[in-house]
Formats: sequence, C-alpha cells, structure tokens
Amino acid sequence: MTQDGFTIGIGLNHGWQAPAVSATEWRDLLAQIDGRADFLTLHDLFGEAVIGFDASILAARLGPLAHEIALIPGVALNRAEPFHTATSIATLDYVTSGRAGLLVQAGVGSGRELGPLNGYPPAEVAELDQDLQDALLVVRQLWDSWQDDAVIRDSASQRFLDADRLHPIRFQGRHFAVQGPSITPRPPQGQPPVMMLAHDPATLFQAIALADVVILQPGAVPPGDFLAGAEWAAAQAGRRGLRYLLDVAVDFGGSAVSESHALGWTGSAAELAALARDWVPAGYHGIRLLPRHPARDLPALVTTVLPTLAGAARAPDLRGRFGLDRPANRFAA
Amino acid sequence: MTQKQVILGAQFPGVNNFTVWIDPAAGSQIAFDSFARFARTVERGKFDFIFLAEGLRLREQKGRIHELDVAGRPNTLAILTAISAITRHVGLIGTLTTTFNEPYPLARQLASFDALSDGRAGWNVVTTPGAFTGANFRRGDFLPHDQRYARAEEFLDAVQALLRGAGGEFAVQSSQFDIAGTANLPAPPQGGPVIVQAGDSDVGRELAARRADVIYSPHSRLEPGQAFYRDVKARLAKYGRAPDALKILPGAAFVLGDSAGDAQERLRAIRLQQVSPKTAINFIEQVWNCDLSHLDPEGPLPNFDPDVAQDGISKGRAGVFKSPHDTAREWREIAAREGLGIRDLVIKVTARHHFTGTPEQVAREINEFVQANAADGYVFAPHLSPGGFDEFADKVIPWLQEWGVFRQDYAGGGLRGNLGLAA
Repeated sequence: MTQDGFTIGIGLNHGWQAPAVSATEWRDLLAQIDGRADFLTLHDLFGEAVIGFDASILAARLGPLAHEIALIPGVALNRAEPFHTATSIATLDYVTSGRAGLLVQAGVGSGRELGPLNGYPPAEVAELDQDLQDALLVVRQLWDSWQDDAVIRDSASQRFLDADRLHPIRFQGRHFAVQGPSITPRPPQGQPPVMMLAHDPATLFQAIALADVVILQPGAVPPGDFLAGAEWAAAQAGRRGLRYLLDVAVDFGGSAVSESHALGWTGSAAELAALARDWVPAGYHGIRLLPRHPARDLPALVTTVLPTLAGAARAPDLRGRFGLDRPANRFAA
Repeated sequence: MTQKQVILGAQFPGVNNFTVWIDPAAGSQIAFDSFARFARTVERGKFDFIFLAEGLRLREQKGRIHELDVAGRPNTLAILTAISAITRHVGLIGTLTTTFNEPYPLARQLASFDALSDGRAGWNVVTTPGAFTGANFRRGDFLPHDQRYARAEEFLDAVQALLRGAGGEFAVQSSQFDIAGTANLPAPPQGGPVIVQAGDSDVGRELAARRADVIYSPHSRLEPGQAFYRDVKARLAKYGRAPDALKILPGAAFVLGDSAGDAQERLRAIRLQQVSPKTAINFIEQVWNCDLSHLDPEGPLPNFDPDVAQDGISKGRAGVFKSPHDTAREWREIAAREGLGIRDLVIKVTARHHFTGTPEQVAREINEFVQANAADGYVFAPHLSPGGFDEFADKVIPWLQEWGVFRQDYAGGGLRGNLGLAA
C-alpha cells in the first residue's frame, strides 16, 4: 500500500494476452514494472488451450529478480493438491522475503486433464464451491501448522524442533482429508494474502467468504455501484476488513477486451493518466491493470499511468501494502 | 586410453541426522539466502548439478514429530526454479513422487521449469509408500503397494507424451490414467527433464536401464560400486542403448583435512555431532521398536529382543534396517566384540562411506573410483548448510581439473550438456 492506501497491480499471463513463453521476455516485462507497481498477478492457464507457463513456476523464476514488486500466482485450487499449493506459495514467500500472495482461480474447466479421481470434486457447481472452500482452508491451516518459534536449535535438549509448536491440522472435508503439519515452516508473512476475482453474485459471495483481497470485475456496471453491492454483501456475511480492487482491462489500440469481466478502458494512456485517481470510485483500495497486448500497452501504462497513481512509500511485505497486519497463528496457544 | 570425465552432483543437505545443525557454521535450512549461497558455490565449482530430495510428511517417532533433526524444507520445484534465476549453467534435479502428483499438472510444471532454466531440469522419479504420506493428499492411501512401479512407469509415459506433444491435444488411457486435454505447455528445450531413477532393486535397475539417464545408487564404495556398475550397464544393450546413455552416480560423503590424520579426526568430530546421545537412543528405538529413553546412551544395548508385535514406532523414514531381530543380533555382536556403548555403536553401524583425506587424496580417490568403473561420478551430500561445499569447490575441484578429468568451465547445452548425454 502506498502512503495514502492505494495499491496498484498488473495482471499478466492470461490467454488473451498472448503470454510470453521465454525467460528473457518475462525478465524484461518484470523489469518494466518492478519498483513501479505494488504487485503482479500471474494467471494460471490450467485446462486452457493457450500455451504458457505454469503460474507458480513462473513466479518462482521471477522471485529472485523481483526487487520490490510482489508476486501473486494463480492456482486452480479445485484441480491442485492443497498440500503442494501451501508449500509452493510458502516457498515463494521465503524467496521474495514476504512478497508472495495466492490468487485462487475457481471453477476451472471440466477436470478431464486429471480424469475422475477420488479426492477431487466432480465438475458440479456446488461440489466445486465446497471443495474450493475446503482446499483453501487446508492451505491456510498448513501455513499456520508451524508456529513461528517452532525451530529451537536447542543444544541443551539436543532438539532442533519443539514438536509442541507444530500442529497436525487433521482436516476432514467432504472429498478429502489432510493430516499435516506442512513440511515447510510458516511463511514470513504468516498468511500470504489470498486474492479472488468477483464478477457476478455467485463469485462475489464466494470471494467475500474466502479471500482477503477481492478483485472486482464490474464489466459494464458502474464500478461504484459494484463496490456498494460488494460492501453490502460483505456486511450481510459479517466479513470485515476486506480489501477491494478494481479490475481494468486496457487496450490503447481502442478495442474492448471482451475476454475479461474487467472494466474495459479503450481510451488513450494520457486520458487514463489524467483521470486515474478520481476515476476510481472512493472505497476501492487499489486497482489491477490488465494490458491487452503487454508488448504494446505495458510501456504506456508504465511511463504514463503508473506514475500518476503511485504514492510515496511502499510497505516491504505484501500484507503491509494492503494494510493487513501480520496475523496471529490460529494454532498457537 | 582416454580418461573418463568425472560427474559431480551436489545435494542440498536433507532432513536427517546426517545434516549437522549444532555446529556454529550451520545456517538456516529454509531461508532463500542459504539456497542461493549453496548454489553459487556449487556453480563456482562447476558441478554438473544440484540435487534435492523430497519428503512430503514430517517424520514421527513414538507418535510424536521427530524433534532431533533438521526439518522444514521448501517445495522442491519452487525452490529449484528460483535457484535457476540466480545461476546459469548448473543442472537442477528435483525428487518428485509419481504417487501424490498427477501427470498433467506435473508435466506443465516440469516443462515450465525446464524452459525457464534454459534446459537445466532433472527429475528424480520416485514412488512414495502409502498410508503415512497419503494422509496429506487428496487421494489418500489410494495405491496398492504392488502397483507403485506400474503407476510410476505409466506416469512417466504420460508426462513424456505431454512434453513431446507440447501445444497439441493429448489423450492417455492406461491402467492408472484416463486423461485428455490440450498440452498447453512450452516445448521443453532439452526435450524434457533428465530422468533420474534411485531404486536399487531388480525392478528399479531394469526400469533405469530401460529409460533413465541417471541412476542414483547407494553403492559408493569401490567393490560394491563396481559390481553395481557392471550389472546395470550390462542391462542396457537389450534396450538398444549404449553404455554411456545411463550415468551411474552413487550418493557419497566427504571429509577434508590438512592431513589424512586430521581428516580422520574431523570425521570423528562430525560423527559425534551427527549422533547426539538422544539420536543414538532414537536409532536403537527404531530397531527395538519400543521406548528406550530410560537407557544410558553410553551404556550397553538392551538385553531383550525387539518388539515386532506392534506396528512400527518410526514413521516417514526410508526403510533403513532389515529384519529387527537380525539387526539387533548383529549390533549386539559388534558391540560385544569391540566393547562399544550405544552411542559409539550407532556411530559405527550408521556410518556412510566418506571420501576422507587431504583435498588431493580425496580428489585422487574419486578419480580412481571413476576410472575403475565403480561409478561415473558421485552425488555428494555435505554435512553442513549452506557452506558445506566451500572447501570442496576451492580445494578438491582444482585437482580434478589439473588431471583433465573435470571441466574447467561449462560448455553449455543445459543439464544434458553437462552430463555428456545426447540432446
């Protein structure tokens, strides 16, 4: 979060952005935005027809090169092992010294890439929703399954660990069970921020229930109205402290981005820059910008738009950028 | 006759008592700086690759998480991919199970890792025994024990089909898999990761002979190494493979000193660090299969037989000991013959082979073993992280280079290039 509490992100690796597939191109994209945006989300292409990198692997490759920007890979949680997801994001958090997050991608594809397997949900809405809730809870519990002080290196008792500070999670859900604890110690942020997208009532209720940061995709609805709806739904659900970002797909070539539910911007970079701060309705905590053609649109975003949005100081970790405190461990006495 | 080139792998210290944490030089087991420093040293030494083991559930003993050893490690693919960002040439081999992964997600990750590391990816293909580790995964204890290898091989087939068909549609139907979709992954630069197999059984050796590029063996001593080498290399011809197509790399350890005697003293000191009094008791508990915490670590072994009636008290370790009764009898005999208490006995019977001596002596012995076809090289595991290879890189490697059996610099070509494998 910049000083005045407005967070700016870039979203890449969507199929409609014709994602780069070389390390060099990605290094160059990162270099353009590192130090200028607060975070980068990387969409995962699980089950899609477009060729691209696995988002978590790509984030791991960019991690050591990212000096300041936070990295938030997408994971199709219904199609992933929660245990692997928990260790992967925790590892990214270690690699980036607390600048990792998790973008949960809901309801992905038919699942035929995995086949019909016990422990994974069938491709029915209610089952997928329940499974997503279960899988994310497991990820969060695994992150807390080591207390921060679990490693004691105590030569007097000859113990490296204090087993009382490690916690089996003993999760039992409808489709699967996970025992825990994690093999990876608690990540630097404790709980890396969890992001979800919301573009309609169903995705909005789900995101409000599960995420720390909700990216609102208002489509043609006025963004202020969409935010008001989200805040109302959150109040109904008793969820406080959520952060809301406005998702904006930009095409400086002047055509609308029909593949995304994000608000579309088809004007020029200069117009967007002039409007930028006032144009995002009050109540939003930040914005995510999705360049239609990164090679063409990103440079203009970086040189023209980002400087007008950016504030002064940037918190060192991603939770801090969203104004979130480091949470207590749910298992610590 | 031309000399064989020595292959050297560097294992990041793992989560067992071999990794010493009590030494003041021991750093964080999880901070990225530890991995970065380790990797830079290994690349400075021109090693062929870095090797990472895997364990997907914390070990337990007597129903409690094992506290005595280093524990807490990163996700294998995430950390190796991150290391690829700060290195240029060294190969990166990760251990990944075919039991608690599925082919499509792993193929995407391996292809991405291989492409993003410019062809430096390796995959140590392993199976994981059932119920204990399965408790951490969606499918649980789903795989009958006798299908483990069939699944591993079908898994490898499926991943390689996805990698070969990068960009196109795939469909795999086999006894384990019924999957289809778009192989929406980048074409991997080496055609796919280098395949490593670690099994020592007859089935494992045959699988390696059929389709592995590297076999990681436990036989680092001269004569067992030669026997293993002859056996495995002889299996290649029937699959139409040249002897060079499969590299045999035992896991090994080393200790350096200013003199041979100094190195021996250092080895003794390291062994005492690795086998603390509590660790010694812990080892005999594994064999006797009961609580022995009341025993004096410097005193004699138990005078009763192991408890084989109850379920094993130790969970999550690779099977180290054969029959408990035979092991107990053997250990009692050694202890009686040599007058050893529990701790000294455990130090002796759990000893790994160490190449021990001055840097020149260690280099000479490594090279002699390789030229004598006991191995094509070794995967060394140091007892310290992250500085465990500092001295090796600075003092042992130059001897091998001087004798013309180890690269002066990387020649490129990714991990296959390092290993001298055909692309």
